[in-house]
Amino acid sequence: MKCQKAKELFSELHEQTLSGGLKQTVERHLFECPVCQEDYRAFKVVYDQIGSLPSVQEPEDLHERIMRRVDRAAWDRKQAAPAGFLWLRSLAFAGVAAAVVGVAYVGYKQLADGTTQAVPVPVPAPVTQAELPVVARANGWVTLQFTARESTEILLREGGSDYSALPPEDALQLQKRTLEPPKRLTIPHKNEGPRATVVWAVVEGVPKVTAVFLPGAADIGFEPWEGEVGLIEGLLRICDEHSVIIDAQLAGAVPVSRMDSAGASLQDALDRLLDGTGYTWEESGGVIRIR
Amino acid sequence: MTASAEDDARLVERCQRGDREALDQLVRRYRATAYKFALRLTGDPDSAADLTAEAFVRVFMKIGRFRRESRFSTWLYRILTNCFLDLCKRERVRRHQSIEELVRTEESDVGRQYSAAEDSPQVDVEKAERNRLLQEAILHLPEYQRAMIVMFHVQMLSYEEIAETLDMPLGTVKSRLNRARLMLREVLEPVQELFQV
Repeated sequence: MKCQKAKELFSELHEQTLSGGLKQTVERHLFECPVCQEDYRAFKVVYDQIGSLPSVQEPEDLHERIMRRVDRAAWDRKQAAPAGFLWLRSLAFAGVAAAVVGVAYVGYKQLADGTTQAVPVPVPAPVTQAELPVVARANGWVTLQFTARESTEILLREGGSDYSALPPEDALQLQKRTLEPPKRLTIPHKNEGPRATVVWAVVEGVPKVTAVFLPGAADIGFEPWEGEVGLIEGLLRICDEHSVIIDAQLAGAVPVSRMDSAGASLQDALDRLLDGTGYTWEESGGVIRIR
Repeated sequence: MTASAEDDARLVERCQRGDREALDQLVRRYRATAYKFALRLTGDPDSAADLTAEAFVRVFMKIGRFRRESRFSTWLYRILTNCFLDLCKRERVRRHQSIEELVRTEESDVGRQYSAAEDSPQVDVEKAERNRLLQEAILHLPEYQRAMIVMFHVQMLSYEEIAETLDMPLGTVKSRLNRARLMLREVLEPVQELFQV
């Protein structure tokens, strides 16, 4: 047995979960290798010491701080949803799309008995003076180039887990800025995290959101998945499994699809995931484009 | 059944119906556990309190969609870990502080926190120093490994619970934890005489 292999088994040896044969092999190696013997002795000391870190006292006002933040979040949420109306988040992008073409869309009024009723709602004037960003690869970075003909607000967020709204409500805000003349802005981005992630770009007045999927820097992969999957989760898995950058322009509710990621080629995985969703894919400039 | 004896599932169910009192009880039940986890991850009492509060805000915002397929505590650990990773990401984006600076500026805060928690009337200087160095070494670990080490050794979660929390294969959790322990042992090598107890 080599030293490296023995080290990989230190935890299991110390926890006494190694099978008989393997345990004997590691112990024999430790008997014959003084360096590993010393390493293992120090390893055990550290292992046992970590658990002995003293308990800590929470701040006296922790409960109050938590509940104050929760109440603030509840208030914000209430402010975001006008009284009497329950905006269905899945309709958010359909609503924006309707605004662009100048038609009325609907809200849902909550009735006294808890049911809802569709009612017409006036829409804002259309804004079409901006475009979605162009996504490209450059020297190990991914760039998002924004162009707008008028002052336009752009928003970059990352991650999140609840895809009932795009970008997800729990996505981290990276940048929010107003694009002014010269009306072209290139933002470089790199995923320094260990897992695959998704960056969301929202451009004011554009009824679609750009989702850029970036593979992680470490090999923390997903387990192979077979069966039903949401489009975003599916693309994250493909991005991670095949280490590809994916630029997806998405609108409306996120479709549910199917995937069988075990051993599938990139092409097969994408074909299967997008089948029946209304989206297609092509590859250009080293980026998978989904439209 | 009294309110304090209600199990987590019942409290979660009440939260999902909009019962603020139930959320208050969940916070009372888990705030200390959450704070302890957050403090070991961040090494700073203020950041830990913020992280804990942020995690409970996410619990509040998302509890309607929690399907109760896993235990509430597992779900809370997942949220706490995500909040911690987001915090690290924000730090990277802002580039205000390097991890080394973080360790340096937070040592004294953590030290104060330990002192406050000591029950013994006699101050064990050597033990306090060992704990300080160990906490510092944990802060040197990559984020995911740090979360795993704290979950296993401080929060006493099993390998299976960590795998479920982080949505990782069991084998990956075990091998990464072993790697993290080897790294801790390496970081602590220059001061290993302090650990010969």
